[in-house]
Amino acid sequence: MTAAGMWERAAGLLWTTRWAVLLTVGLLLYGRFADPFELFIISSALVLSLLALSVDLQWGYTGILNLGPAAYLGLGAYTYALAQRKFSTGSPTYLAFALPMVLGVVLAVAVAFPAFRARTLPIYYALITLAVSLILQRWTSVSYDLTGGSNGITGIPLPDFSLPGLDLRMTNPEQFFPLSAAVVITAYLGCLWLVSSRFGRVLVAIRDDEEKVATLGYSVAGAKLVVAAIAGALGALAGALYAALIGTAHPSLFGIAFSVQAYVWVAVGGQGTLIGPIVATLALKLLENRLRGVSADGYVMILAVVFILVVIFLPKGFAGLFESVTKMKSIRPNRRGEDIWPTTGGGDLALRDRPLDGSHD
Amino acid sequence: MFGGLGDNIHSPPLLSFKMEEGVRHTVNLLAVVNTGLLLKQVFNAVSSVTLLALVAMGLFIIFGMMKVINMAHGEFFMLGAYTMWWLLERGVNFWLNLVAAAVVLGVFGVVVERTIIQRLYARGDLSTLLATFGLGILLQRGVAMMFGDRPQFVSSPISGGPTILGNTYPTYQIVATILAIVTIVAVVLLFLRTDFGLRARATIVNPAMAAALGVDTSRMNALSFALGSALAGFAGALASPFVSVVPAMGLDWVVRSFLVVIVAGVGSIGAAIGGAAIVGGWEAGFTAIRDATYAQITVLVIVWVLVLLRPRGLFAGKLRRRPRLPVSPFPPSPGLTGEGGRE
Repeated sequence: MTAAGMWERAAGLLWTTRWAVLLTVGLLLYGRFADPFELFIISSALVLSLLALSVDLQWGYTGILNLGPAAYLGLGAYTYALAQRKFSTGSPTYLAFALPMVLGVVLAVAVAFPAFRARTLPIYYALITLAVSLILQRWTSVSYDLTGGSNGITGIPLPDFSLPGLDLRMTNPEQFFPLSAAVVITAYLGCLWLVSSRFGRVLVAIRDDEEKVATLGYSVAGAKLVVAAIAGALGALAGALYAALIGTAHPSLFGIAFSVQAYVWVAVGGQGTLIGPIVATLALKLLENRLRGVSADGYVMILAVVFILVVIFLPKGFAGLFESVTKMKSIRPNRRGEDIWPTTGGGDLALRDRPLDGSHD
Repeated sequence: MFGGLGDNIHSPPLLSFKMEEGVRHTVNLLAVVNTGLLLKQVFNAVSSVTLLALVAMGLFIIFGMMKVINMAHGEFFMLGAYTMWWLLERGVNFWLNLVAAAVVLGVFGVVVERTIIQRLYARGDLSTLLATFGLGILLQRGVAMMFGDRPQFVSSPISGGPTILGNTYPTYQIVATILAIVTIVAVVLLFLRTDFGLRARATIVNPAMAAALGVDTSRMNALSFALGSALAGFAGALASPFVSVVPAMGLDWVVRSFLVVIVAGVGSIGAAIGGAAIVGGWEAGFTAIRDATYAQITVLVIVWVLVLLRPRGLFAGKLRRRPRLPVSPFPPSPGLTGEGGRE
């Protein structure tokens, strides 16, 4: 490969990941000047932005509505807490992070399994996810033996990533900041890769015109199930990190408040973009922290109004405002040079279809 | 969370002394066989089912007619209960408040329909679900900001009640159940026997055709949304003496009513009653034997299985005479059959 080609590739890669680079730089600067409490807040915001990503992949990219994303947050938190408690020998942290993600996938697939079949009512997924989150909240608050009931589980230890000969034990919550930043940036890059892959384009196509995708021979139900599973894993990871950071797991993690907030973060940041929800989560959590004490209810009400307005007036999110600018970029052949239909809008598809219905000319 | 009527009604345990878990459940099972208790449980189940059917029916009208998924329906129920409480505090008669709650929520429904829902019809996707989800939270937190999160107390207008086979049946619960049944019958008759009902059913089956035949579908939509909201408000006011009136109470009801819709399917107004009988009846029965949390977990499992077996719902398609055939890619050949290619 020529030097010029390599430069071009590097520049292209840099352009693709520009938001990750900017986010990293921004977080490094913030981390340099923030005090410990601010670091704690930004860490929790970073962790929760994983939940926003999980909602965004489902709602923003695939057009399926999981109204109980907090179910995975709570599941992850409790699983982490219980795993840390039960497997106290050695260094259970790796297991305590892996297990929630596995369980998140299992729960997501189990819940979603009947949801995406062609004849199931589309509200089923929204409702069953909401119901599952409410029931888990209720169940954890009554089963004292396992989950500590409504008191929750307290005193959850900080993660200990020590390996033989390598001491990586966390001793204070400030050390959580680099971990959460690294996880979020990794998750962001992973999602970026996912949505720009062939599979990601199928997802967007499902969002825009499900029947057409099915007609073209893709398994719509399969793709949706995979997205639900990935989102489940992300949500559970967020929960595990959240529990590790704040040191407690309580039933309200399953609550509607977290689910609604996740939707607001995505709506404000722009559904169908990846960096938007992350930045919105950080900004709104910092804002919430400033406004704390003014009125929690008032804050949530304002968020709800913003959310309703976004749903009514910006169906494609804030990103939709700039879509005309970026549209040209998304209509590019993928890496292998295969020509894939444009991901935004259905203009070309409509053109291509026209001869089939016999109404042209 | 998620507790229905059952929670409060069943609060005294069937057996008051403590035993080992396993033994207790077995004894509970045996105790239910006791005729008096069985009768009481059946009564509780019926009263719980009728109330759920009332709420679900409101949802059903909105969902069936407009294909609008109103996630704020539970909050409309909550607002009905709060209307009752607020007016009672100001000394207004209880029975008058029942009507007032229905009227207030009916008007509120029209406002919501005209400001939010109407803008989202054309999209035909799940955006009404999202918008009303946001609206529900807005209403819930708004009420919490005004009146606080603590439970409000609505005393029932009639105290006491007859004692049959050693169990007391609160008169108000009996009256409320009868009122709910009367309302349900009235709504069914409204749909089956009146001109409005005919137009409404026409809009449900085929909005485009109904519009072509001169039905003002936009007005039908507003009216049906108002009717659905009014039913939720009425049910909330009716239930207020035996549920705890808190801002978050609506969430349980909207989920349970939607489970009813999912189990029953969309298609006929009677499906709401059948679905409510399954969901509410199972919940009440299981709550009596075990407890409310496990009752709801099992309800979810049942719904999950039913959705696998009957994705369109148990009573789907009852409104149509013929099952809907898949759309043929070939143009109908009018000469073959009288009905354009279909049997």
